[in-house]
Amino acid sequence: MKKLVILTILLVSALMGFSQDDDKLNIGGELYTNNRLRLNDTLPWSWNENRIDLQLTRKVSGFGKFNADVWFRSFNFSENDLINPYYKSNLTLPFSYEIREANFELYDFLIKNLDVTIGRQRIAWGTADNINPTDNLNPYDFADIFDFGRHLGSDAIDARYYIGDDMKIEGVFIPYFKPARLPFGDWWQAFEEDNTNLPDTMRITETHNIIPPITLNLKYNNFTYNYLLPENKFSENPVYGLKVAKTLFGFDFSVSYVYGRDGLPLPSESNVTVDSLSSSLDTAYLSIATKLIYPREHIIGFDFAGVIGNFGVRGELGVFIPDKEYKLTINSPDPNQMITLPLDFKAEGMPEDSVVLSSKPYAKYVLGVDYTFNWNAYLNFQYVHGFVNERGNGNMNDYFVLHFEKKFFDDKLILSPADIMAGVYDWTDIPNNYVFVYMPTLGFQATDNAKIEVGARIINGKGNGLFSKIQDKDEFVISAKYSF
Amino acid sequence: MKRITLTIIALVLVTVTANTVFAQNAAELLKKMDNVIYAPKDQKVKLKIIIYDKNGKQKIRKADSKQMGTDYRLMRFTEPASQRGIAFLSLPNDVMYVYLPAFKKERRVAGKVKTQNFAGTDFSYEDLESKPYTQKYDPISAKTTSDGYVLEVKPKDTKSSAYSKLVITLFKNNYYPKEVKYYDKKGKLFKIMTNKKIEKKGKYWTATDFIMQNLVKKTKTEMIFENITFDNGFTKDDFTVRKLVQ
Repeated sequence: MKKLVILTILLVSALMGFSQDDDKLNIGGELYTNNRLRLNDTLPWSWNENRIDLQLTRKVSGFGKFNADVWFRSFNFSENDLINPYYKSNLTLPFSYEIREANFELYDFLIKNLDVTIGRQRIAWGTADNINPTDNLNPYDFADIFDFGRHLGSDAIDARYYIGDDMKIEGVFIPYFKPARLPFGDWWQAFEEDNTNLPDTMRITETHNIIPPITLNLKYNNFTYNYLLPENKFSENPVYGLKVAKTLFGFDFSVSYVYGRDGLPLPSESNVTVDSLSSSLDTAYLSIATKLIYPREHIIGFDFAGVIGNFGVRGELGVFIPDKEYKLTINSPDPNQMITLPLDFKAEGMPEDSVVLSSKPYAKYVLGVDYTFNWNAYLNFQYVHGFVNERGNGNMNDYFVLHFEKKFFDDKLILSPADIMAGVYDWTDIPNNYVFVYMPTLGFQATDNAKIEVGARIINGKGNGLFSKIQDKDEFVISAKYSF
Repeated sequence: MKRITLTIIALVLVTVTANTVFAQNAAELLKKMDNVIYAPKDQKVKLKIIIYDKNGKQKIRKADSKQMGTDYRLMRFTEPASQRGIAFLSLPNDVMYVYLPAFKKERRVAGKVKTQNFAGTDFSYEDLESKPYTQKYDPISAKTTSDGYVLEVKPKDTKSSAYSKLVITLFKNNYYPKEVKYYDKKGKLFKIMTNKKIEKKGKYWTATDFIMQNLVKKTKTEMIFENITFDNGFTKDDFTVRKLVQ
């Protein structure tokens, strides 16, 4: 708490005390609450988020701008501490704060037409809506899994050099790698490793055939994951980005390159250990400890945006090239530690080492179109090849994302009756490999600055895709936002 | 019979000649009006927009706007808080960008938006477009009244316009429009724009307070220009995506 107070004072002081003739400090932001009810038999509350998003900006004439964005958030439900429930306020009222952004922008830095932003910042690349294969500098923030486009801020230097009025060269340096934030609550199951393929039995053989082979049933007690961040040395941590953007024939184009790491980890080594054997000696209870790493990759990007007739059109391509082949090593249990006989035993039947990410390049792309109707309605459609969590050559799936909204009563009522995401994991067997997420919402703009929204998320799917794993988590959502 | 034919020919000739004269007058007046409205090289203004619903309830928007010539405009909302930082950049050839601070990026906007209302007001993007009237409209007729002129014009591009015709009343002394009546595609009057306050700032006449009434929805929007300055020396560099996102 003390740290928080000091931090707030420092931020405000920095923003307020630069010099006499600066433009004034602008303080704004949002109060936001989001609550969700799981649509199953008992209707449990599944999400309770309350936050203040405090945004501070100060323009300094002819110099640049300071920006800060801090979230003060009370998230989730009270927990019980049976020993001393009243003295641990953070259990009763969970609270956290987070500096989403804190940076300063310098205009015409050292030379004319060079703008530089230093500090924690969001560097949003790409032209598509929310799902951007070229937006790979900031790690994803999957805390709320339905907020696809949300990213964490990165501590970075972003330099943009403008040539004429239609060309830009941008270079980004992020000294420290940060992984993606995984979903809160039980939504993390969407990213859970698939453990259903683990063997049910293990065969123990004795090398000299003195004892006949034994087949053990396997029960898995425990899975633990150890997330290994890259070594703290300069060659391993930084993320680099370069982008050239140009307007040609009325369209905006850009090509980009990023050398970074995937913010979602990959399993690299699993150690399988036997916790115990059943008294009848026919069942082994196992634990699996898996190390996860963040693969290095090169990403070549391309995007465009423009207008054809009355339609806005945009497209984006990211070609991901892992720096090497990534393998998962399985260390099977040593039966000699279970069986205390002076013989040599071997375990068979455990999974073999496997390639979890080939070094072959793979591509993700998005094509989108939007249209504004004369009757106060808006339509946006995107075709997505390769969702944010998908990776590896041959592992991309196809998704179709539709958003339609219509405003009524002087824009006071905003109805989105057809927000849909449909995906196919295997075109040869669609009935068993699909996802369909229906997300209708109804918003009420109570005042210019206050909006209340109710909606639902109905998830239906089969197969092994991200959303199929969470298809039992249909929800009713109510949220409210006040901007100040 | 011969006399009747000659009379008809004479009548037709008179009508055609009269129409041509009216059209010529109308064209001249339209040009004079453009010369007055678009005289400054550029302008910078703090804009206050008051939107009245049919019950008279008000909503206020504020924005900083700058404009150069007829093709370059950059407008950034400062109020209400929910729209703070949202900015629009208009460039030649109907190129339009919007900057959405929540997403930290600019976005190309389709031209169709022009026939839509701007930011919940009674002005459409077409109304606020700073193209000279002579480029957008053909004169139909003109007449002189005791205190001004009344011009009737129709859109050159009827497809992309929401209007069938406009009737513009001009002040006699400076050719600045006093009132513009907008007729829908069916020829029915549905919007009236009235310049409430016209001032001479330096060497330029300008409207600093004007109202658009929507007769169908029974709503109105008032725009008030504060701190207006002209000929600020803007260049094309002040109307770029770089400036939009700064």
